[in-house]
Amino acid sequence: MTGTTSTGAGPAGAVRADAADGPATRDAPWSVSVLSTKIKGWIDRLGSVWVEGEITQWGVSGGNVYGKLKDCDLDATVSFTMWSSVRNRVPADLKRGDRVIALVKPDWWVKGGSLTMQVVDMRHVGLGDLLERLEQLRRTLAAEGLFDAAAKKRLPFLPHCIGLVTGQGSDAEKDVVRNARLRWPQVEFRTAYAAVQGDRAARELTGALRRLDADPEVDVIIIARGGGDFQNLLPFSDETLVRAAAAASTPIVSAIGHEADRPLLDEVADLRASTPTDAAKRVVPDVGEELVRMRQARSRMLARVTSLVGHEIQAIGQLRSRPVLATPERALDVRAEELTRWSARSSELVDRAVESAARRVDELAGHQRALSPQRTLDRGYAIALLPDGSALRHASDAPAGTSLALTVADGVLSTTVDDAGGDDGGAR
Amino acid sequence: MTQQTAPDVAGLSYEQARDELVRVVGELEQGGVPLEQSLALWERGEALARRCEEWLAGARARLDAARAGEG
Repeated sequence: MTGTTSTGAGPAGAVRADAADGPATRDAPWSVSVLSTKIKGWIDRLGSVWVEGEITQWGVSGGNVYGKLKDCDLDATVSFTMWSSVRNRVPADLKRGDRVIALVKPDWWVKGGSLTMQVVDMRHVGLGDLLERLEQLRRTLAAEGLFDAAAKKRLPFLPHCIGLVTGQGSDAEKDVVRNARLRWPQVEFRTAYAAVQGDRAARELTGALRRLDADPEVDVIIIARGGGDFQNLLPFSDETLVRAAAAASTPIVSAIGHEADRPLLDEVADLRASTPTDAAKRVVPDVGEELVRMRQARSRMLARVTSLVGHEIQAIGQLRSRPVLATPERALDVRAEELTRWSARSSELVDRAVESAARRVDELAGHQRALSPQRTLDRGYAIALLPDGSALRHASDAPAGTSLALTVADGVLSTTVDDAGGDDGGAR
Repeated sequence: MTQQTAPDVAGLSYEQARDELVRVVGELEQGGVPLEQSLALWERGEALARRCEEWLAGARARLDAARAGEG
């Protein structure tokens, strides 16, 4: 992107011939003016050139600008001067950190012996070019799958230690730390500072990110910067940084406050926060909110279980009060009553049987009495008993002299047979 | 029913104990069970009811403790 423009400056031959045409020696030294004039001649031959670089210093004094321009990749810097007349022609928003192309003319001041770069023109590096390069990189990385949603890691619900990559003393750092602590006072930070703009930014950001990713205690990393214009955010689209973020094993949150022209880091991060404050809120749960939610869940749970238990207590109470359980004696009472009834009935029946048997015995005794020989004796009959006690039935059984006992109704008489009788007679 | 083979009440879950209690009460209310067996049934029912009540009392105590600890 550099080009030379010939200014048609005269060769060294413009030096006056009498000053010195040959080389200077101890015997024939040049005058200082010859040296200075010769230097000017050589420098003027370079003419004006277009250079690309980054403004690293931009001081305004008396309408003129005194600044420094640094190489985009290597360590090389030159000072430059821009007269107020030029400054009125170039974009008014040029400032430190900008990437520019400038038409500079090295100028040797013969009287003072100093070299300055006179800026003749200066403009921002073509935005179109940068965007084109960025889009190209975006397409490449997307094709490699670095932006895939499936590759995104889940953030921990409550991080114990948050890694923070940001500029030292930046508002972004304060915003993240303050908002995180507001929500969860115990949260810990491990901060790795890095330049967040300029030529060192990409390298330092990458180094800080790798350092925190290697720290086993860090369980989420926030990369924060409080906004900035498109060019300031270019380091956050640096290919090395983006690839390092994709390769990190720790979940990464990008918090580069910029809505349009999102840097590529946003695409590859596991979570994209709109601002550093937003990042703190998304990474750290609000302890108060969580406690309220927990309390609600507990009270709902308790209410539900209490009503369940209450319902069961009622159900068991009802079962308990059912007569079969509450007064089990009743079942026995019924049976006891039955028993009493049957026992009464049985003794009644037995009584009746005894009575009827007694009556029968009386009856039989009557019959018995009616059949007694006493009655016959009462009517005047007598029974003659032989000495052996048997009844005398035949006269022949009682020869004369036989003793007979005569039984009458009310006594016994002893007699003796006088005369043996015939067949017709006995002792009547 | 076959109460002899019934498992030990202490080993029953609350629902098992309650369901069996309901069955026992139903059986007793229906009648037609020999006296000796109905006495055994009633003893079983008592044990089941006690088990359920103990369980519920324990549950209530735990709820009260949780409520006291919540404040």
